[in-house]
Amino acid sequence: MTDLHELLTDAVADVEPGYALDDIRARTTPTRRRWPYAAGGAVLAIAASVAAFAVLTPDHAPRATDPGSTTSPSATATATELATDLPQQGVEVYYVGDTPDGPRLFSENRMVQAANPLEAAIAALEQTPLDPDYRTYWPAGAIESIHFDGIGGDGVFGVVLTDTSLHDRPASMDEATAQMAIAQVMYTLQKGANARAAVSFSFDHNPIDQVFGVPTSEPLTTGVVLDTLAHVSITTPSEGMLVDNDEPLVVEGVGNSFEGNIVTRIQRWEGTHVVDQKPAIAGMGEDRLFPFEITFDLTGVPPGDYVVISQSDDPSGQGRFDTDTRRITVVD
Amino acid sequence: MTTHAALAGAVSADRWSADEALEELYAAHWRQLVRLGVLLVRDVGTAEEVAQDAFVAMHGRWGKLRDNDKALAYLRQAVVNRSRSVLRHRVVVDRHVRAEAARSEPTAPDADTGMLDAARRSAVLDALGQLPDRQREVLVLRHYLNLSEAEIAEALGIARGSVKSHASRGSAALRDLLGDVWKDES
Repeated sequence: MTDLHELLTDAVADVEPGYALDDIRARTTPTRRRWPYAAGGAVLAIAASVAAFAVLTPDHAPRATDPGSTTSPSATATATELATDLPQQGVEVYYVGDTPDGPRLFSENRMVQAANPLEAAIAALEQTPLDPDYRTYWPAGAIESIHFDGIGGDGVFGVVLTDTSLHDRPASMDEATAQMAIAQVMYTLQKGANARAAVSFSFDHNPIDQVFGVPTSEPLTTGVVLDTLAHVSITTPSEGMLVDNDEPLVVEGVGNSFEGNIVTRIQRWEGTHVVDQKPAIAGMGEDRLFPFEITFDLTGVPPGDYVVISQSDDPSGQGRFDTDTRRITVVD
Repeated sequence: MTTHAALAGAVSADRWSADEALEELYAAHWRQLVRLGVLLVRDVGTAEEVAQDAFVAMHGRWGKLRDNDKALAYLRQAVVNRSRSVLRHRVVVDRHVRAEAARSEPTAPDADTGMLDAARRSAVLDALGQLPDRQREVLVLRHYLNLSEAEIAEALGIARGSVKSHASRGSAALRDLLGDVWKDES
């Protein structure tokens, strides 16, 4: 044999791999949550509908003016076209994760290719998050369509549900989680349209009185940000990202912490060995999350799986800090 | 309510296209990707695991790939990267055990010519295994998959100049290691 192509092709010519498609399929089937809804949803917790919610309040109070009225997406959501020549763009989708204060929202950047990024973000909301620490409470197809009147912070998003199956709060879901499920949609829409507009849920051309047991007869506005969003959320790297150890690793995120301190460390996936740890200053004192960024030098870090952990500060020393994690694979 | 059907369609189309792409790419490239893995890690079982992981990862990233060509490039890259991780992990494994296992690979020699074929194949895989990672990867991508220098540079995340130098050093080293098996090119 004189040709290297021939030599290499021949070297594996007798390799006949086994059938693996079923195994692969089994590993790619989403394990989506499906709530066992009560038939008809007749039992309503009426008393709960007048309860004051820390997270969500009816749309009575005047709101601060918000930017974005001129840059908002089209007034009515148009059909999503799956044209392949559409540019890819990132959308932020809010999923539920756990913190010491209970369930909170974490944002995940998802790449979509769609004519209407807001619709694509809502579609992503109904899919399994990339980060296994997060979850969504919206089954695929639960949201029929979305609309936005396009008048910015004073406007209203319309969310039309496909059926009434999400009317009641499932027995396995607590009230705080139900609020987070609603807030998932609200934050994803508001971020996507860059407008803190109210959100109205409807079904079959009528407002629906509750979703996941949360009263929705009137449009909802988002309440205190720091009671809804996790206090640390990593934007990059994304879950499962391959990272070359010749390149600096930039960790970006948003947070709100005592004295603004967010500490980020890189540790081996297996075990607790910490490769490096660095502080960054985000911010505090306002009801919002502040951006932070740290750069790690991975030179000499052996290839393998690692976890990036960003953590808020806990001056009380009681371990009540928020964390967000990303699993990465270092290669060289 | 035109958006109803459209949005519901978009959701299921996403899912459908990832599953569909998985099936198409599996049908067209499963064997070649496992063989690529064998050239890199030698052991067939490991190569199958590596290729399976690559397909699962590709399915998860379909929302970003959205294109069979991009997905294939990703699959190849994933096989190369995962193979390298496997090899690194093996460094800590007893080399004697590994050598023994490699020798016992079933080669099904059913005739004298079969024996010769098996010996040659084994020699090529052994020789590849002795090359530095980058040289092996570049040679396999260049000569087994027939990728261009630019494609290899992109797949491995290295400069085109490095591809060239790894390729020439790799093929010189392989020639030394193989001797008679790889006769002089005209």
